[in-house]
Amino acid sequence: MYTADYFLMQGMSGLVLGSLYALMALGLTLIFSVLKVINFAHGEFYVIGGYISYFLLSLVAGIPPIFGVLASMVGLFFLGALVEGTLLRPIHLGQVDRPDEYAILITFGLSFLFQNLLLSVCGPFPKTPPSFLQGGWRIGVMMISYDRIIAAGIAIGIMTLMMWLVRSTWSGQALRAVSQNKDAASIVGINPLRMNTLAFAIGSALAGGSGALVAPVFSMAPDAGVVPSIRSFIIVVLGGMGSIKGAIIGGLIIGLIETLGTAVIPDPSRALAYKRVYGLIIFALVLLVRPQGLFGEEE
Amino acid sequence: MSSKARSFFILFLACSLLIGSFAFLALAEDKEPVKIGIVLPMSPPGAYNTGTKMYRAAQLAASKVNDSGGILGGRKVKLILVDSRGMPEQGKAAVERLITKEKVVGIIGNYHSGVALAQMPILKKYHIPYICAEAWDDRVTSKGQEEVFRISITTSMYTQIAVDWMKAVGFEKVYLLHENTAYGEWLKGYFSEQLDATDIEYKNVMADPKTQDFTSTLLRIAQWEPDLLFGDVTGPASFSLLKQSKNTGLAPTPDTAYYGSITLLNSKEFWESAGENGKYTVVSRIALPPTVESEMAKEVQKKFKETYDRDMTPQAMEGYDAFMLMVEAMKSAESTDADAVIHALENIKWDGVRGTYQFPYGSDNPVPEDMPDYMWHQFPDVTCYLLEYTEVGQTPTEAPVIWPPEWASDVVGSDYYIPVPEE
Repeated sequence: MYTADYFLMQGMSGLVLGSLYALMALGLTLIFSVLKVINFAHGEFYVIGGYISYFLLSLVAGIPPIFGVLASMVGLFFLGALVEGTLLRPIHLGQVDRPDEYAILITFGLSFLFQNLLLSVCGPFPKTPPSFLQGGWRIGVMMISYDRIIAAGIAIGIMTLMMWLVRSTWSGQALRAVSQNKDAASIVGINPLRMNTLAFAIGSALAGGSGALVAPVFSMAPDAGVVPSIRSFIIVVLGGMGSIKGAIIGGLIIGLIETLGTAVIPDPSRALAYKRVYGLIIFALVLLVRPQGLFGEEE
Repeated sequence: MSSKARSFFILFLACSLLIGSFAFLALAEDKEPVKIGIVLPMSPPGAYNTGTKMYRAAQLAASKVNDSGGILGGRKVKLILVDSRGMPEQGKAAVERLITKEKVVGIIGNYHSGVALAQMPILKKYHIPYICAEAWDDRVTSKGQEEVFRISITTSMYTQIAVDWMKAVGFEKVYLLHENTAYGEWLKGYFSEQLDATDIEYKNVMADPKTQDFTSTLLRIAQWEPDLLFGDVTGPASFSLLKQSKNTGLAPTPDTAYYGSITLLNSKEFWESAGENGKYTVVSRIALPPTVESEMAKEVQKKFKETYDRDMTPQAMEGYDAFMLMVEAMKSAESTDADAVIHALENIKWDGVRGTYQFPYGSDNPVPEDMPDYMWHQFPDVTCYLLEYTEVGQTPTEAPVIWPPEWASDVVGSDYYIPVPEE
């Protein structure tokens, strides 16, 4: 018989996971809302973030792990800007005949390229940066690690900051304007190309930050981005393509559903095996009722 | 010298040069390298970290053979790698390519049983000798295929050793967490069969090896209060599982022991990931304990460590031994002819890193009825012992041996397990 503490612990665990999922999905949705491009290499940006944190913390002994997260975000910001400025820019300059297919091929190609580059450069063995803080918060015989609590706290902080940036700064408003109507935005003096680069760079930085936050808990390997990337697509569609609020709420919903589904379904093997299916069921149900997602706008 | 004599001398010189050239070409023909193929998972979604170690070890073996003058009258050996990505279809294509395009005369390798099983019909079609280094599925050898030899442990051998240890320690409630692959399914089946014959109460759960977060399941397992958690998930997930098991307060703790997968033998990554959480973790090591290893085995491991700055894991040893065994068979057969090599392997007795290899059951000596079918072309004396990490940073060879009794370290006594101290 499960106790109230058990459900409290599972709920906490779900919220912690959900906030980390949300941070990654937020980057993906931001890129989509502004560039109208689905970044299939988002999972690899997440992994690169984890590796940057690992190598920085390994090379500079005694540095607080939070610097690993910051370095990952900065590194991925510039990598994202580079990728957008060189590989995706032709779409927005009208230099390619079939922009949608081009975007898919380029981001898919980048995903494979980064996976194999990581394998060659970082090696095949999993890497784990040091913990944020050893130990955990205990209820009865169960415990939730400080690493997770801190990672979730930082993720919530970054998401709050992002909401503020998008709502209250000129650049944020410019990003929103471009996402709504590129032509109208350029008429009022906003450079859509610059906003494209900014959105892709911020989106990549969020993926990198998310990877650096979970690396002490999950370990990083070259192919560790595949599952989080697929989950992010589900969250983004569930929350509404391009909706920041949708990505955050969608992330929390998926985190909670996955955790509670695994916690209560009678057969534990099936409960764990179908972990990713719970989110898909909710996703399908929501799309049946609201095809545009929870917070998406109708075309 | 007269002009006639000069002409004769020039003709003689030309003929000598011509004959010399032919002789040189013929000699060069003879010195064509002996090509041996190796198929391993070297990239995702396969177990590329294990594949890399096995390949490195086989490369080391190839260098050793070539540095000592080659085989069959000075011919060099050439190791040709093809990546299976851990996928059966790619594994089949890899073997086909090695045989038809690269013209290899023997093949070694494999980590994933599914890949090995898929390759077997191709090996049969082209009649190429094959040494399976690390696929555990009993069916790899139980099919009685002429070309296939195996030096790794089988799933049923492995589970029997673990269950014997559980009984000896006196565990009463065991929770087994397997990966939902063919390997995990077989493991689950054998464990169930063997645990049913004991008084041990057990439950099991299957997990995707790509799972990153096990917290929810671990919290659930904790409600059942097992005294042993058997977390046999391979690859990076094994690190996450152990860390999360400790962080949820489940195991290793004074109440619950933790038995992890062989991936945890990668001590460098293990300690980096687990830190203090890794103490009192039990792992099986499918090799000889350091106390009974030969000097040759120690030298090979030392060389591997010097070359790659990593400890040589048992899988890497298998990569090394599989290559050397194929070479030894060719040396013994004095040929690369498939029938001669297969015959030589059936009669071989060779000291490798993991023991003295031989395949007692084959075409001349069929598997007796009272023995399992998988003993066909199976190395029967695979050694497997259990170790327990007790200090942060310990390598597998430094950790105390806890099972079997004949190799158990003094510190373990007759308990066969060092419990986690109460805080």
